[in-house]
Amino acid sequence: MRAERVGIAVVGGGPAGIAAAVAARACGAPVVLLDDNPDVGGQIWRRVQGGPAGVWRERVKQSGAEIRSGVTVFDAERTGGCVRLRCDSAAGPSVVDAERVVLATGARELFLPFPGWTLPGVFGVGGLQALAKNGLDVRGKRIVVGGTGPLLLAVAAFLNEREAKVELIAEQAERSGLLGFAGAVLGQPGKLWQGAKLRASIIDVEYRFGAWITEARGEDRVRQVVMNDGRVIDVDAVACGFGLVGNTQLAQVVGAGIGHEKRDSEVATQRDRAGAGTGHLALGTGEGRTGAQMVQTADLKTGPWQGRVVVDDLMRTSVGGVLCAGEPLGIGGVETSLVEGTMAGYSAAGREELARGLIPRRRRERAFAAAMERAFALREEVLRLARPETIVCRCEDVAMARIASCDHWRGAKLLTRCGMGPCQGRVCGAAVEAMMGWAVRDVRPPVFPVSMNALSATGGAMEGA
Amino acid sequence: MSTKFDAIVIGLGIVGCSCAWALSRRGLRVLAVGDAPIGGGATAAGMGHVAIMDDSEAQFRLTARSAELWMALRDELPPEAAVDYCGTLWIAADEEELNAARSKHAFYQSRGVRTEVLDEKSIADAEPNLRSGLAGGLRIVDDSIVYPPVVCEWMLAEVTRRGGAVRFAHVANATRTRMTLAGGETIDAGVVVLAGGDASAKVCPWLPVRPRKGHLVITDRYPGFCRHELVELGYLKNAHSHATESVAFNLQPRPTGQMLLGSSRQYGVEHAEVEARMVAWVIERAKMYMPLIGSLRVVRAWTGFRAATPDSLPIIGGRDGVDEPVVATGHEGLGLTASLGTAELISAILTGAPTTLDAGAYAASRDFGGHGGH
Repeated sequence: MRAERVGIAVVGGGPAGIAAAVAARACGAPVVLLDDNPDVGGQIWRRVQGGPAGVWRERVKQSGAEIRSGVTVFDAERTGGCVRLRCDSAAGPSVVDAERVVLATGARELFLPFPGWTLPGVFGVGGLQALAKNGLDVRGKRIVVGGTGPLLLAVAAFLNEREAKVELIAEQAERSGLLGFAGAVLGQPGKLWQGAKLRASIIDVEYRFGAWITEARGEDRVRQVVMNDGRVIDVDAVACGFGLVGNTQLAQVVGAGIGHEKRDSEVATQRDRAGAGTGHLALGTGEGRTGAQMVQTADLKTGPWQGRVVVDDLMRTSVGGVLCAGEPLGIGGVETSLVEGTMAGYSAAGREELARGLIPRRRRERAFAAAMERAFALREEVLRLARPETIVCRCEDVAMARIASCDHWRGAKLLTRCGMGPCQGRVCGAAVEAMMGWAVRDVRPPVFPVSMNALSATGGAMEGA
Repeated sequence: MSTKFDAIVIGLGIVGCSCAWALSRRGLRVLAVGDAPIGGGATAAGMGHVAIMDDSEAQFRLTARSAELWMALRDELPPEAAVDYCGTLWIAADEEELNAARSKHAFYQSRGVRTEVLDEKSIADAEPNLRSGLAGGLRIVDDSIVYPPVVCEWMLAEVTRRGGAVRFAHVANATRTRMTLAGGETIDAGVVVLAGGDASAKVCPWLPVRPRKGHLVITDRYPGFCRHELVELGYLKNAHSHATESVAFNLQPRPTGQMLLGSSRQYGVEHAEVEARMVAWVIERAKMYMPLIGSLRVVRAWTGFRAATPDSLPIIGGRDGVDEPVVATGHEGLGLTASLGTAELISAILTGAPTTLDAGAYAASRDFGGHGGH
């Protein structure tokens, strides 16, 4: 088994990880980039060639960073003056001891259960896009794209290009809510242009606000969807996008502090602690951990709350030598990830002044992201679509009624086995967190399923350390 | 709380829940109290193996009686309790261990427990994924597995149905008839039973109960990879030695098709973190018996703390003349197995209910060889 000591290890090859590697290399630091995909770019730039994707991919390849693709990091532990990453790949397990680690583990799609969501033909927007990129033929297929956020438009445009027949884009947010968002966008002309371009490319598709799918119907596969206004649409496929959830598992396993954004009474308490009573994004003073915590404390009455890795202004987590950037800090999109990745790279390489110089930009990006989150916050009706008999945990076939009878995540896991299957709650955990408001915080190694041989080989190396 | 309870049971693990349930079946109004969730702690962490053990006469009687009670309960439990009479297969690696298996067979046979000695060929037939060249083994036909948290939930629902109650609270201390919660609230009852596993010593500091950490890993679904609960006969040496650290091969086929692998024993470790080196050790031990197991994918690893006593027997009952709770703890790895027998004994001690068990062997007042009583 391969075991080595490195300077900086970046985990994740999406925008944040790429930017971190590029920045750290620019400072002359040695960098190993570990990514579980076949090529760098992450989910967002998968198989995207031109534009920023192409530019950044080229940059990182020219940076001198050692890129290891197809490597899954399943455990991280602070030990003996370094951070030990336990990895697996087709070439076998390995151990990487890094002086500093940048966690750029990205995000995954949030799946919210609704009646019929487990029928074949119902996809996540990202999932359907990935399948189409990998050769799934969508030509002439009648598709309803539903959920929330700009990703719906992007995926609908993509499907449109591939000659799918997009019947409807159903955006659950109200148009009035998005007017406030437009105000925020005005400060970001580039983003407005992006949005306009997307709209133009799918101009012949019906786009409705305040609309959502309440049920998918069909025996063997999805045949129809029922909308909230009672309209029934015949479909061949459904693409749902309820937003993204940051991948905080590896950060949790290494022991990094996780900030909470909670609903109900706890929101008030947290806001008071942060010294901001407005209920809107509280920006930090830029100094130390407290400031960082404040930046993470956005208004939470809107939207599901999710745990976020807490970092200071230099992207340092509460664990020495472990930095974090991008979506695990709260969904921020590509621009945020690039800025934060760059900051983390500088910071990890010891060039703190360079990282500090980007604080104002990061603050702008985060303010934009927070405005976006408010604008596209999931409404209660959408969070309550599951019926008592609707399956929530697909691995263990656990229905909503059984979960609703529990008081918290751990109790639900023990009594219903929800989240105990192969996905280990990566799918249902986020849904339950959104629907029930429970903290889902019980991540243990391995973060991803891994062979006994890999666990043994990488765990045994401890004894020699 | 205005309701007057006949008994308070502290601890919501399988032992506490069994005691609360057994007492409520005897007509007592029971308040079950403990840290959430129901069936957490060692109960959730453990394998859920109901095994008749023969390490000592006292251990045999308690586990055999418990196994009878589990058998009697099987049809009452909800399907999610996942009761499965898969039997235990004790694996003999060599001739010496096979001789041990033969004498165990004689022990069990003379006491009416169905067992069967397997030779090299028959153990290979019984479990094709065991490595070749093993001497044989011993099959305990009526050993079973259950999913303990669901049993706990069911038991407490029964307690509630009979006028009792469940309360999630941290207990600060207790006497024979009064419990004080962490917030200062006191609740009186006819009697207080302490079944807090390894945390029991926080309430009764004299209890010679030490936490013994264990690691378990569970795989994705591989239906049929093994059929019995498999345990190496070397397990007994490990379980009984009081060495700081030890590992023995123990594999359980869950009804879901998942493989649950143990087990390690560690004294002196207080943090619950999964230790990569212990997991590696557990896996390497397993590979000595099942080489192919290395290719199975692990979805989760976790730890738990058993409540170990110096003589490897639980502590059940009260001490005369001492104003402290009646205790039911110290079951180490046998809490699930012995829970129903323990509850029957507690019920007998407190209500005069009949039992075939002799309380003396598990008495709180017994000699712990200088470990207890201080």
